[in-house]
Amino acid sequence: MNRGRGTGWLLALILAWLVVYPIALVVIDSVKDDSGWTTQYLTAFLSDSHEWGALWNSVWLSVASVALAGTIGIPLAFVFERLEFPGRRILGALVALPAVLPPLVGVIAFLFLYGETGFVGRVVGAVMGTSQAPWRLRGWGAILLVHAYSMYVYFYLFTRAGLAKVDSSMIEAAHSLGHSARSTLFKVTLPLLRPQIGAAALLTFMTALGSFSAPYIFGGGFRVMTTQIVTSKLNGDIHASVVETAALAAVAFVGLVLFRRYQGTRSVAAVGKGTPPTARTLVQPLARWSATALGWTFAVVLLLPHATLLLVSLIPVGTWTTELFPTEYTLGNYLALAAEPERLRPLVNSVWMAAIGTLGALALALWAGRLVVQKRVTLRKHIETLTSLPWAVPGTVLAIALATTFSVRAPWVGRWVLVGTLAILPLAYMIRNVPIVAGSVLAGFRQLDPALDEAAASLGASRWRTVLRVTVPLLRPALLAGGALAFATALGDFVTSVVLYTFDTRPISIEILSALRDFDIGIAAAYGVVLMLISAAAMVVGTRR
Amino acid sequence: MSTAYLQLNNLTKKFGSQAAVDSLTLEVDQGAVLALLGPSGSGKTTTLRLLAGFERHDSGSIVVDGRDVSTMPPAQRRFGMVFQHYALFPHLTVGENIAFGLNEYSAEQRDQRVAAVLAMVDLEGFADREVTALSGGQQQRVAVARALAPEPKILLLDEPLSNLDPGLRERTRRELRQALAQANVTTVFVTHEQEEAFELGDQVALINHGALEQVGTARELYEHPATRFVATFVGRASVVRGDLISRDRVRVGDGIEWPAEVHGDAGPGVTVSVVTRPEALRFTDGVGLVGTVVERRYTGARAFFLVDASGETIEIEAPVTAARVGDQVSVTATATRVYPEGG
Amino acid sequence: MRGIRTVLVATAAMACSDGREPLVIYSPHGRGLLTLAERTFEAQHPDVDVRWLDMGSQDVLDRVKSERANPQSDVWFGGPSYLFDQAASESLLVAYRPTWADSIPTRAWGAGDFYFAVYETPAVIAYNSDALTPDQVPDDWDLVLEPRWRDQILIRDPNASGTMRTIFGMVIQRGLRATGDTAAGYEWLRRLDGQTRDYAINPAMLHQKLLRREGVLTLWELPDILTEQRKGNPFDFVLPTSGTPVIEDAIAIVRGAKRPRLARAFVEWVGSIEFQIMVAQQEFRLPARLDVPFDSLPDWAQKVRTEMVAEPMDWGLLSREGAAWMSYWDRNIRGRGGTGAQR
Repeated sequence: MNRGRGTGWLLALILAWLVVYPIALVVIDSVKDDSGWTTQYLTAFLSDSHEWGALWNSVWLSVASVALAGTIGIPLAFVFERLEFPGRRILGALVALPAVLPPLVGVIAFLFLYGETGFVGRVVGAVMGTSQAPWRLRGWGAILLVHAYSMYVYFYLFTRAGLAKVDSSMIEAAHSLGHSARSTLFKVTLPLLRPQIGAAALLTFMTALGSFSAPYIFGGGFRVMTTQIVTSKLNGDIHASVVETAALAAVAFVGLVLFRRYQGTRSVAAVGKGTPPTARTLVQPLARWSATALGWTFAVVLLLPHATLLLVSLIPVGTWTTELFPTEYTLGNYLALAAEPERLRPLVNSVWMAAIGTLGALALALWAGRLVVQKRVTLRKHIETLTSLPWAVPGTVLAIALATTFSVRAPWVGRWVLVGTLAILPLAYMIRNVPIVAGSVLAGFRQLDPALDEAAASLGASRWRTVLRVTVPLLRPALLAGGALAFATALGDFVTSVVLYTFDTRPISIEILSALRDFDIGIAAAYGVVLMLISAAAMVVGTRR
Repeated sequence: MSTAYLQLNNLTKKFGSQAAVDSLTLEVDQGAVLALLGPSGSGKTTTLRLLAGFERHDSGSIVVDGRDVSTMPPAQRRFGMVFQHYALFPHLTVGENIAFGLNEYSAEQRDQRVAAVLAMVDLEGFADREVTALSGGQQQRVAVARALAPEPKILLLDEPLSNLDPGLRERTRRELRQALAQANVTTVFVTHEQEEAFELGDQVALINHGALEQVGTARELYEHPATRFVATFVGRASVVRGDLISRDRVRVGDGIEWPAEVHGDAGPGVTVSVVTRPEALRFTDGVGLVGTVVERRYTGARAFFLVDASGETIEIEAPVTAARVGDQVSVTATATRVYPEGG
Repeated sequence: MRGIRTVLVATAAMACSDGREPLVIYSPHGRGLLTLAERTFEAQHPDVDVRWLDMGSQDVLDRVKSERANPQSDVWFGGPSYLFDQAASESLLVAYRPTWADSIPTRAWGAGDFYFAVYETPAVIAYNSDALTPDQVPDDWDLVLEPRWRDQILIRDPNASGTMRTIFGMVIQRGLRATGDTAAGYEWLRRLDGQTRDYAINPAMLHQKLLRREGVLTLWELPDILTEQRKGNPFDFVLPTSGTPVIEDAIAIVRGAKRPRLARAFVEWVGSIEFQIMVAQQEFRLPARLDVPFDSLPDWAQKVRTEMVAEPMDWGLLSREGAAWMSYWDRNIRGRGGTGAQR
C-alpha cells in the first residue's frame, strides 16, 4: 500500500527527530568543542576511576532495584489477584498509589518517615530509650529502599494485568500433567507473564538509572551517574557533564537491547481464548487470616509515606521538631494554595501541559498503531522500537538533549528555538510518555478484530470517520489506561521540568522545590497531596472498565 | 457390577443452591469411549471438570480401577485432559509441550515418547515447531498428544472439535478416532454435537439439567429413547399433544388416531406428548391431521416440510413434489412414541 | 526567527492577560524578598508585572546559559559575585553602571560594569539555640574542629551552594597564604568532613535537620538564620572572630533582555537607599551601600556592621580555581574525613 508506506516513513522520521536526533546531538557534543573534533573529554572520562565507579554504581544499583522491586511487586500481585480476603478490592487499588507519588515529594515523605529523626525512627528510638533512630537513612541501602518502594508498583500493576489475562486452562493443563502448584508457577505461570514482567523490569531499570532525587538526597558520598552530571554542571564543567550524559545514554541503550533480547522473539500471546482464574476464597481460617494479615500489612507499610505527606501538609511551619507527634494541625497550607494566584498558577500549568503532552502522545500512538498493526507498513518494526526508545533515555538526559537541540535556530537541520517557549515542556512530556501510551495502545490494536475496520470501510466510512467512530471507541480502555498513567507521570515530573521550565510554564514540582527552598515544608506537602489526588483521580478514570 | 474401570457414583456438585451435577451415576469399561452429550448448561462440562479434579464434588464418589480418587488433587490423578481451546503453552515448543507431563522419564525415554505420540497424531518431525505457528487442527492434535504422552489412566476431552472449521472438523474427527483406538485409553469426552458423540463414543450418556437422561449406544438412543427429552434431542422429531386412548393408540387433533408406543407411567385418558420422527410421518389423501405447509426445505430428491396444524408444528419427510408452501394437507403417522406430559 | 518571535510575543501577551508589561527576574533570594521587590516596584510602575523565579544561584547561571539563544529573563538578582564574573566572561550579561554604583565599596564592582553588589552577606557559625547556650558555641572557624563537635555539624551540600563554596574557598585561600599550597586547606576540610554528621541537599533540609537536632552546629549565611529566627525557629549565630568571608551579593542585566529599560529601572530601585533600608529591616540583608544612614539600620545590622571582621578574599582566584577545588573536595575529601556520616 503506497499511501501507508509514505506515512510510515513520515512517522518514523518524526519519531527519530524527536527522540534519536537530540540524543545523537548530545553524543556528538561529547567529542566536539569550539575548536572542532576532540577525544580529550572522552579520554578524561575514560581514564577517571571516579567516573567508572559512578557508572558502575548506576548499573548495579539499577539491577538491584529491579530485583528488589520485583521481589515485592510480583508476590504482591499474586496475593491481590489470586486470594480473596476482606478488604482485597480497596487495598488492591491503594497499594498502586506509589505510581502517583511524585518522586521529589516521595523522597521527602520518606525522610520524614524513616529518616533518623523521622517518625518511625523516633518510635523505635523511644522504645530503645534514645532520642533518635539507631540507623542512618543514607548510602546505597537508603537509595535501594526508596527505589524498591517507589518502583515495585510497576511490577505490581503489570503482573496483575498479566495475571488477569492468563488462561486458567493453562494452569489446569499443567496440574493435569502431574505438576504441583509450585512447579506450575515456575514452569507455566511465570513464563507466561514474561512479557509483563519484562516490561516492568525494563521500566524499573530505566527509572532507577535515571533516578536523581533519591541518590541526591540519600546518597551522600555514594555517587551515581545522574548526580555526577549535576555536580559537573554545577562546577561549570559543561564538557564533563556532556560526556557523562552520553555515557548514561549509552548504558541505557545497552540495557534496552539486553532487555529486548530477554523478552525474546517468541510470541507468548495465548493460543486460544480462555477465562482468567477467579480469586480463590480461602476456606481454612488460618490461611484466610494470614492472607488478610499479609494484605493489610503490605498495604499499611506501603501507604505510610502517603499518610506522612498528608500529616506534614496539616502542620503549621516549625511546630514539629522533637516531639513524637505534631502538636498542632491547620488547613492553612491548603488555604494558601487556593488563596494566592501565584501559588495556584503552577497547578493550572501542570494540568494543561500534562494534558497536552498526553494527548500528543496518544495521537502519535494511535498513528503508530494504525500503521504498525493495521497497515503493517514495512517500517513497522522500526516504528515500534522508536516508540519504546524514550524509555531507554533517563529523564535528565532527554531534558538536556532537548535543551541542546532546541536552543539553536537551524531549520534546515530540524532545529528551532523552543527553549524558553510554552511549547518545550508539553513536547518533553509527550516524548517521555510515548512509550507508556504506545505500549498500551499497540496492545489494544492487536486485540482489535481487523474485520471491524474493514466493515466500517465497506459501509463507506471515510478513513477519518473509521478512526474516530470505530477505532477510537473500541480502543477506549487502552487509550484511557495508557493516557491516565502518562498524565499522572507528566503531572509529577521533576527531572525534565527542572531543566526546561520558564516563568509561564513553571509546574507543580518546581513550585514544590521552591517551597522547600523557603522551608515551607507544609506548603510543599500540600502541593504533593493535591498532586496525588489529581493523579489518583486520573488513574481511577483510566482503569475503570 | 463393580467391574467397570471408571465409576461415577451419585456424583453431585452444587453451585449455590443450584445442582450443576445431580446425583450422576455412570460406568465406563476399560478402553471404552464415553461421550457426554447434552445442551449447553446441562452440566456435562462440570462433570468433566469433577473427573479431572479441577472442581471438588459435594457428594458421591469417583472410582478408577477400584480406587476412590475423588479427593485427589488433579496432579495425582494421572488423567489426561484436552481443553476446548487446547491450552498449549505458548512459551514452549511442540516437543516441550508434549514432554511437559513426562517428568519421571529419563531424557532419552522422553524424546522417544514424544516422537511416539507425535507419530500417533500424525505430526512426525514437529517437535521443534512453535505452537503458535501451527494451524488449528495441528494444535488440536498436539493437545491430544500432550494429554496421551504420560499414558494417562483416563483421557478427558472438552469439546475437542468445537474450535475447528466445519470442513476440518470431519477429518480431524476421523483422525481423533484412530488415535483413541490406537492408544486404547479409557476416554470421556464432552460434546454438544450428537454426530460427534455418535461417531466417537462407544457409549453416549445424554445429560440434561445435571442429571442422566439415558446412556447407551447411538442406536439405542435413537431407536429407544427412554424419555421425551432423549427422543427430541436425538435426531429430528416433532411433538404434538394427544390423549392416550389405549395401550397402543393415541388421539391427536380432532379425533385422529395414531399408533403409539407408550413410555413411562401413562394409562388411557391421560394427556401425553406425542413424538414422531419425520420419516414416520407422511401426507395422506384420507383422514389425517389437517394443517398448512409453511416451509419446504430441499435435501435432494426428498424434502422436509414444516406443517402448521392448529398452532403445532410438525416436520415431515416426503418427496419434493408431495406438496407446496401454502397447500392444505392431511398428515398421518406410521409410528409414534408417547410420554406423559412434563415427563 | 522574526516569525517565531512574533508568535512568542503574541503568546506571551496572551498569557499576561491583564496587559501589563512583564519583567522577569531570576533570583535565589526567596519568596519574602522577591515579593517585597515585586510589590514595591509594581507600586511605582503600575504598568509592569514583575515575575520572579526562585532558584539556586548556580541554577540561575545554568539557566541563563541554556537560554542564551532565547533569553527568558531580564534581571539576575542575587548570588555571589564570582558567579556573575563567570557569566560576564561568557558574554551572558549586559554592562550597566547604576547611579548608586559610587556608593558601594570598589571591591563590590564587577569588572567591565557587568554587575554590582547590592548586599553583603557574611558567613556565620549558626546553632540550635535550644540545644546550646551562646557561651558553648565556638566563635571561630578552627574551633569547630574540636573533638566535642564530632558528628554534631551539619553542612549544606557545597556543590550546589555559593555560600559554602565561598567558605571552603576562604579556607583554601588561608592555607595558600600560610603555606603557598592548597594541601593545608584540604587538610582542614578533611577534618571538617570528619566532624560532619550530614550534608543537606538544600537550605530547607539544613534548617530541618538543625531544628530536629540531627546536628547542632552549621556554617551558613546570616540572612537565612535571621529569617528562620523570625519564623520562631530556635536558631542563632556567632560571627567568627578571625574574620569571615563576606559574599558580594550582586545584580545584573541579562544579555538579550526583552525589557532593558525596565530592567535598568529595577536595578536602580533595588540599589536605592529606600529599598536597601526596607530589605535590611524586613529581610535581613546587609546593605552594600556605605551611605545608608547607620541609624536607620535595624539593631542586628548595626551590631554586624560593628563586630564583623571581613576576610580579605581573592574573588578572581575563587572564580578561576573554585571549580577545581570543589572537584578535588568532592572526589577526595567528602566522606573520607574519618568517622563522619559519609561512606
